[in-house]
Amino acid sequence: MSALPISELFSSAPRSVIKGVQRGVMAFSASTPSTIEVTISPVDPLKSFVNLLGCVDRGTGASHMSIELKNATTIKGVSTAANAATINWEVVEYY
Amino acid sequence: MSGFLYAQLNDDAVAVAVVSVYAELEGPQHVRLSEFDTSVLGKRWTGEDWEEVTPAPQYAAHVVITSITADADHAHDTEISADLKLVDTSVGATLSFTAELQAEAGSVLPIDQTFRMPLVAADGSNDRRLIRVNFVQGVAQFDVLLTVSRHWRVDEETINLNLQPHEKLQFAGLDVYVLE
Repeated sequence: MSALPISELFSSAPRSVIKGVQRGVMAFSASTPSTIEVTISPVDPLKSFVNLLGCVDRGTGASHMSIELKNATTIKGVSTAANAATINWEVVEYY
Repeated sequence: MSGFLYAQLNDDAVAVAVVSVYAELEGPQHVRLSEFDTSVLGKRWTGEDWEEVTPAPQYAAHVVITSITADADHAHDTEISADLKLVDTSVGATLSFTAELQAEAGSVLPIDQTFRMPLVAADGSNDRRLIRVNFVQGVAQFDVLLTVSRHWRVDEETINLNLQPHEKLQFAGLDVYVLE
């Protein structure tokens, strides 16, 4: 068995398992419920996931906020907040 | 934050999102940004610059007058406009009102609450009356006896004077001319 030269080992190894990250903020006005769809650069939905990084409801009532990767180019956010609200999100795509 | 930065607009050209993406986005709903600037959120893109948007007032309910009638002795000299916003009547008449607290879509809100409705002279006399309006399950019926010749007005500003911001009521307004 012959060993691979070290230089070939490095060159054949993937530089990163993450292909890319897209991030954003969506802002909801005061209405119940409210949906925002945001366009992103195309990703492979089978190799991507979306993270909800944080949300702010500027009202005092209970609210529900969610986010999903609707398709390869669309993030869909939903807020039931009766007041202005924001959602911070990111989409991570793997090779 | 690296990548291509955009503000994304809704149908009213108001920024609802700021994004950092891999590649350029096309279409008039995307406005290229030089930095990840979330201060544009909620602002309207004019095509050249961002302008503040005055938010539409939020109402707890809409006060809608659904009927106005005059007492039998004064019905013949009382004229009521079809939209129930204008009444011409005579001194001594009693007007009977029915009003509803409605949601945006027009359904009656089942609210039990009593309001002091200001009836303000709009003829410069500084006269003012307070009418008790008691809503039961969103519907109120009340009578107003008109004893002097005057131009009375009820409008959105006056009915909201003593209400908290989250209690604000929308009202189309009413003018009553009491003639001798």
